[in-house]
Amino acid sequence: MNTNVKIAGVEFKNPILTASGTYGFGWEYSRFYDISALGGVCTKGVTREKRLGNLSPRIAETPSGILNSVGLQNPGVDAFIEDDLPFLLEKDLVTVVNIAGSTEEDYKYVAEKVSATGAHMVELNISCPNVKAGGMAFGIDPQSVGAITESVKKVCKKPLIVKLSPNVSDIAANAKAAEDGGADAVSLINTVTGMAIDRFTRKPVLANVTGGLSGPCVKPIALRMVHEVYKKVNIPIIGLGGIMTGADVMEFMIAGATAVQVGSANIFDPMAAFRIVNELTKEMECCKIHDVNELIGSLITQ
Amino acid sequence: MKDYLTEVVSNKEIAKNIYEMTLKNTEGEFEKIHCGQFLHLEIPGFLLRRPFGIYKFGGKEISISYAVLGKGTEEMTAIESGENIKVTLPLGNGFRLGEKHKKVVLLGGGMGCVPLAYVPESYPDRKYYAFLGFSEKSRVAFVDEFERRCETVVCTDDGSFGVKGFPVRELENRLSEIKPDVILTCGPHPMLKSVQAFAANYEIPTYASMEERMGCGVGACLVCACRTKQKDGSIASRRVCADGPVFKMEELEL
Repeated sequence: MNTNVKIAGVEFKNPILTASGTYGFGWEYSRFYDISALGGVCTKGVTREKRLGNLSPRIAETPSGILNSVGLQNPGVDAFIEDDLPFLLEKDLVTVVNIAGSTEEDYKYVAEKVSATGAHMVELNISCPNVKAGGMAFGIDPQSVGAITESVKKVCKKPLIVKLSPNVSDIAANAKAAEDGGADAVSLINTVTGMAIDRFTRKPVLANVTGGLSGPCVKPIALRMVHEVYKKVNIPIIGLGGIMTGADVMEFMIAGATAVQVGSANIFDPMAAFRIVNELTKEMECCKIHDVNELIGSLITQ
Repeated sequence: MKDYLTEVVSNKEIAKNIYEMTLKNTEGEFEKIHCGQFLHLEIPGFLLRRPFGIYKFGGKEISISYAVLGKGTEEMTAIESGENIKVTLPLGNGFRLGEKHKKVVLLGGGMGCVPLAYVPESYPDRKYYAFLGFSEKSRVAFVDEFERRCETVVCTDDGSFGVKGFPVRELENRLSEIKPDVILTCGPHPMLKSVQAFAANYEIPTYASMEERMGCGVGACLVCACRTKQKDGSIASRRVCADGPVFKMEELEL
């Protein structure tokens, strides 16, 4: 049975990565299982300078999902490269560094720094809904998506994945703009902007008022968007949004994803990503699928 | 730390809307627990686990206590003996006493008493004084557990049980007599603020166990942030689950 997939020349032993922001820099979960079982890890978003993030509370449970408003808390790119990255690079997996910033210059600065390391890929976070400057602002319309992609691509020596926001009118147009700007792949979806209210206090549950919705409740939105983007672009798609099981992984691949990211599930269950890797091979055996690549974009619509 | 599938031994109301739940590891002993550590419990039908301070620990059995506050804890009251519940434990760093901490004050407010109750089990060779505060008589709980090991004073806000007033004031009244080497505290935010001022005023080393809404519970998602002052004066965002839940009182930005 083959579970290997390839994106921009980078080989993954299986199509399962962990999503940025849900897996720290890998160390925490390595206490529960050998993380080399994974295809790859996307790091927490890294910025030029250290960031404290938003005030607490930063999380709320909603029906079949969670809202978060962490706000890009991270130690800054230099401390990340010094203290956190070496651990991941020792593992037998693909390390994807998620980068964020407030300005185009910030993104380029971090991309250049990461390019000089042994990291395998860079994921451009232009879809964080929880920061005031930058973040999602770069990811709203196709012109700005294309411009930031092109600008970062010039200085980034690693294959570049552009992570797309679902909070837009046409995600496929943004994916196409990323492709035209030189992106090697796109990942989607980041969280859906939402909010929760406490009717007794009449206050928002999150200190940041709004947050990003993730978990099983967003999976149908994510599947629809992967399907739309697959029809529009030729670069590989990494699908994410509410993946909880191996069966979910297959659904995203059928919709057009070459690989997937497991996000909130890690938060719900520390063993989730490891379990999903094993579930995928069981599902493949069950469905007599010899090569996981045969799933990609195999959706039958007629 | 490990993810366990436990069996519920009991789940009973011990005061108004306050429950004690005991879980058993059917496959042997749990990993050793240090006082002030917590566990992360999966509630059937909910996605996010809920963190609870460890109240009692005895090798194969572990007890938590929870107040019914929202949908999750409401659902927990329906869990019956014999049901299987997933928990990850032990989590967090807990309370650490130094050699010179001979006389220890446990200062608890409401549900904040829970993580303090196991301290004398982790450090049996110390002298303990417990000052416990509750809103009113029907909410008084955990007292027996403290009285076994500590000289215990119970306060209620309205005077319907024990002494009327706040436990920090009772401690202040007896301070010159007790001369504590250290204070360990947990409780609601306004109480922690007053304990912080008290500890600074009398220059008593104090450690506080913090509570925050949590995501993963293992240090990865950065959801349960609390702000602390660093030695150089800068502000840091620390993880209650992994850097805490116990912090030096003077570091906390309350």
